[in-house]
Amino acid sequence: MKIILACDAGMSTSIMVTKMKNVADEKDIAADIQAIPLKFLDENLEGTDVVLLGPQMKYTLEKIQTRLADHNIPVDVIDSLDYGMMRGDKILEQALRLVK
Amino acid sequence: MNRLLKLMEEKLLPFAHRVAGQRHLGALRDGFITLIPLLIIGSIFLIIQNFPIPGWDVKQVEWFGAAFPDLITLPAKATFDLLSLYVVFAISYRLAQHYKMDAITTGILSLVSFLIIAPKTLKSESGEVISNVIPMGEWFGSKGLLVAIIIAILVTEIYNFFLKRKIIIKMPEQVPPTVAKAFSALIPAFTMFSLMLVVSILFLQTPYHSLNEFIYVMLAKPITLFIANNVFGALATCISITLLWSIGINSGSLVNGVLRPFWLDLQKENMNAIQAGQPLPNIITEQFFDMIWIGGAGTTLAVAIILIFRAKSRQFKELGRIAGAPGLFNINEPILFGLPIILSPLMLIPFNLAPVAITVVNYFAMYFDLVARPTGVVIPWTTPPIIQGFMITNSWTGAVLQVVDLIIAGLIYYPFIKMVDRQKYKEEITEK
Repeated sequence: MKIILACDAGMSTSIMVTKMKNVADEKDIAADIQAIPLKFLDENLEGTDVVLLGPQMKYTLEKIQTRLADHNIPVDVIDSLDYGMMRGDKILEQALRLVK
Repeated sequence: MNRLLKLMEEKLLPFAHRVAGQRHLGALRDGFITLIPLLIIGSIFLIIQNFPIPGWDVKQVEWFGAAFPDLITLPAKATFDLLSLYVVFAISYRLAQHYKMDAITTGILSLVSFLIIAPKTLKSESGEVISNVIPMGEWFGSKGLLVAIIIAILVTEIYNFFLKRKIIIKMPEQVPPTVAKAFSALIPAFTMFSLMLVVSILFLQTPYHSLNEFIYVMLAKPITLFIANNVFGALATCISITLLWSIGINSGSLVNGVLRPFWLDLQKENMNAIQAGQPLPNIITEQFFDMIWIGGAGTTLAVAIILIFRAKSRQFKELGRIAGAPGLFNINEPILFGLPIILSPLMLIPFNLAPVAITVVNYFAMYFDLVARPTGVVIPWTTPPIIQGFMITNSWTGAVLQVVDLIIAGLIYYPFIKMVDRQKYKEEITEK
C-alpha cells in the first residue's frame, strides 16, 4: 500500500513517516509511506492508495479531492493534534480507514 | 478574536500560500538553498582560522608558515567571493526546471549574460585599473547578488518566451534531439547577449559606469540600510515570521529567502572586517535571527522545557517530551501544531511577544558590545542552541546570550502555558 503525506516542505513530516513506518512494521502492514511537498503530488500519484495532507494544507482539501476523484484516490487532512503529538499509529489508522 | 482568526485562515492563508508558491520567489529560495551547504563548508575553514583561542593567530603561523591564514581560507574565498556566479546559475536553473525547460542550457545562458554585464576590472593598491579579470569579491561576491538574481530571472523569462513563441531555429527531424536542442538556443542566446551588451554600453555612459553599480547604489544599499541593518528592520523581520506562522504558514523559509541576498552582503562585510582585524560593522545577519529562533520560530524550546517540567496535564507533558528532541535542532512543528500555538488566540500572544523581546535585548547587547556580533559565517540553522550562539559570534558571550534569551522567553511564555495547562488538566480529570 502506498501512502503519501503531502505538505509544504515541512521538516516534521519526515519524522512522521518514520513513526508511521515503525507502527506499520509492528503490525505487519506492508506500507510504502512517503512525504512529499504538495507541488510534486502529480508526479507521485502512480500506484498511490491514499493521500494525507498536513494540517496547514487544510484549505486545499476540496481542490485536491476533486482533482484526485478521477484517480479514485481518497484524500483527507491529518488532524492537527495527531500531527503535533506525532501519533504515527492514529495517522496510519486514518489512512487505512480511508482506503477501505 | 476567534472570528478574526477564522477570517485570516480562510482569506489570508490561501493568499500567503500563493505568494510562497510564486515561481520566482520559489526559484530564488531554492537556488540559494542549493548553495547553502557550500557556504557552510566555506565557513568551517574561516572558523578554523579564527578559532577563539588566545594566541591561535600567532601559533598557526608559527606551526604552518606565514602563508597559512591565506591558504586555509581559500575555500571560504572560492565560495563567498564568487557567490554571484553560482547564484545566477542556480536560480536560473531552478526557474527553468519550473518551466520544464532545458535547465542546464538556461543556467549557462544566464551565467554568460551575467559575465557580459558585470565589470571585469580590478583596482590595484596603487590605483591602477587592471581590465579583463574576474576579481574575487566585488561584483562577483555578495555585492553582486541582486544583479545576479535579476539577470537569472530575466534571462530565463526571455528564453522561455522565445521557446513558447517558437522563435527558434528548427532542425529537420533526422537531426538528433540533443543537437536540435543546442541549436534552439541560438536565436535566444544571440538576442540576450546583444541585449546585455547594449545595456553594458549604455551604463558606461552614465556616472555609474555599470548596471551593477547602479543597482547597488539605487536598490541594494538603501534596502539593506532600511530593512536589514537596524533594530526596526530586525523587529519587522521577526514579527513577520511569527505572524505568518500564527496562521500556519512556514514563513521562515519564505522571509529568509527574500532577505538572504541582503544579509549575505552584511555578513561578508563582517568577515572582511575580521580578516582586516577591525571591529565588526554589522549586527543584523541571517544568523542574528537563527540565534533568536531557539528551538524553532517563536523561541519554542522554552515551551518544550516548561511543558516537560511544569505541565500537569498528561498530554502536555507527553508533548513536551516529544517536542524536546527535535527542539534541540530548532524543529518545532510538534509544539506549533500539538499545543497548539497556530490559530490559538491565547498562545499567539507570547509566541509573537517573546521573539520581539529577545530581538531588542540581543540587538542592544550587541550594539553596546556587551556580546560579540555575528561574524558572518554560515552555520546550519539546525545547530543546537548555545553551541549555535558560540559558533555564530565566535565567542562565549554568544552562548551566554542564548541562555539569557531562553530565560526571557520562558518567563513570557510561562503564565500563558499555565493557563492552557490548567484548562487541559481539568478536561483530563473530568474525562476520567
